[in-house]
Amino acid sequence: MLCDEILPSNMKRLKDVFKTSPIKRKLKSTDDIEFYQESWDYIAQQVCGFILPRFNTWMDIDNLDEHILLAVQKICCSNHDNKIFTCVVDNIAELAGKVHKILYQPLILKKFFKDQEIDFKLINSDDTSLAFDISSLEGVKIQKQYFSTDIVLNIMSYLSGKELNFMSMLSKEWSTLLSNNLVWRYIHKLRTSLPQEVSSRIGNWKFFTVLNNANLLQLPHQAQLTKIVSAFKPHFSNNPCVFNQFITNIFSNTCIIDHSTSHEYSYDKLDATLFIHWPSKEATRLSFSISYDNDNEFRGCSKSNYVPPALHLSLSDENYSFGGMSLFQSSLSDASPFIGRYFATEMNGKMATCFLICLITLSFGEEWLNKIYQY
Amino acid sequence: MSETKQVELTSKDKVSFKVDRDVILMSGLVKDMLEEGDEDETPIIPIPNVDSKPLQKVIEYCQYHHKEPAQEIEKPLKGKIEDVICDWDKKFLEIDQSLLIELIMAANYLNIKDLLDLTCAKVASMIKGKSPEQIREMFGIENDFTPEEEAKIREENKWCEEA
Repeated sequence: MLCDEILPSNMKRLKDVFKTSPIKRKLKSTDDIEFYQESWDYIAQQVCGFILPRFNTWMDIDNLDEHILLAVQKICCSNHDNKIFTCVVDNIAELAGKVHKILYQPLILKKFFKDQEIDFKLINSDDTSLAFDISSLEGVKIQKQYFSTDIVLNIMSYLSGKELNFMSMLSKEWSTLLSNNLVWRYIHKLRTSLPQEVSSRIGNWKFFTVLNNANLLQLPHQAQLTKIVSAFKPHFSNNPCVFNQFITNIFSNTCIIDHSTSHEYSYDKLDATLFIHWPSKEATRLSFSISYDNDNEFRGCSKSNYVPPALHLSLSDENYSFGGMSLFQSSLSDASPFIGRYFATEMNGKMATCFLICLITLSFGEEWLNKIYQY
Repeated sequence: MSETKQVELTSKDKVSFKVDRDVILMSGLVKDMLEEGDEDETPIIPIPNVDSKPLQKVIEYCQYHHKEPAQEIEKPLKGKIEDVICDWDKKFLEIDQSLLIELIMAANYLNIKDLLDLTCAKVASMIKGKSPEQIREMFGIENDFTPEEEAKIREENKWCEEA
């Protein structure tokens, strides 16, 4: 019981604080003890209210509420006989703000707990993955202010691929942040795996923008797939049939784009197809080819038995290749966070790779794919 | 005729601002805090992470945009941000860089998405067309790469400089 742990002097201080706080009205009719308990419930609720939506971006912990609540309570519990208490509970908003800030910005979190001689593991006492995920939230400093990762991501989403690369060259902090970021890391890995002549054509990463706009990181596993499909849909507004067919063919591993078919799938049905067929099908081979003429102009898109001269995307049991270069093998073997995080529970590595290839193709192949009908 | 309900915001430097409740509800944080409040009174909400100057700008933004919803800004920006935002926003963003940074932090803390997007896009716009050296100088970012590390990262990123 928190109320049992409060020193009398601090109780008086709390009463004074809450007299001017916005929640005092709620507590008028209660006695002192209940007042405090109720306040803490309220504080925890409020703190969770603005932490959770953000934290869900980065963590897949089912009982996150309890974790955060635990964290808040532990800060409180640890406080009653040391300086954190008076430091934190200046007023409800400050408390909420501080907890929000310290949890949201790990650098500050670490500093805060270090200063207070409280082990950072306090928050993580029963779940090591929490600490790991928090550490991935490292921010970067701009003019003495720490920008959290999602602010940086927001800024990045307005930049082209070339400009994003410049950002990664600014400092170790920026480089680390960008390379640690899941989407960025994946894009970077992909980009550095591409042949020079291809990478120079795709400086403007629609892929990143689409993913970012779709707020994919905030969605649970299955919803992410649905959202991804929906996110790409507008880019094919002129050819919904082609888009549906393309997605369906890739997801169902038939690797054939049949230009003659006019069958349309509803998105609901499409999504259902994904989840029903994917886990049960063995992705033995998926090939998708994009061809160019000598001037690097798009010529068309075909199934695997036609091997174009310039670019060939293929996936098979033993060989993940992209234009002859190893692309996904390492990311699969070292459990790439992008795959591991979002897809591991839904599908195996090969399926994930099918999906990623689909995304890649959709992203830098957007304008090419729009021309499929003309081919 | 009933009076417009108000909320009093107190900044980090203890400056108070009275603002219409409907206006400040653009802030997700304030909205959360007001949900269980008594609407007959003027609640006082401390905003301990935001100084009065950026807070005033935040209120100014909310006062305008709670009736004139902000338009989504294209991603990625194809040119300068001034080309894609309304005149009011253009004028609003005529601020010095340090206030812009504070405004981003304030928008993030107060959870005002449109303002956060606008200010982040502004920063992105400032970055566009600049070299890493110029970006470092602009934002006071220290280059802590060793010469070897810098050479390596430049080599890795050579493609984009040549593109």
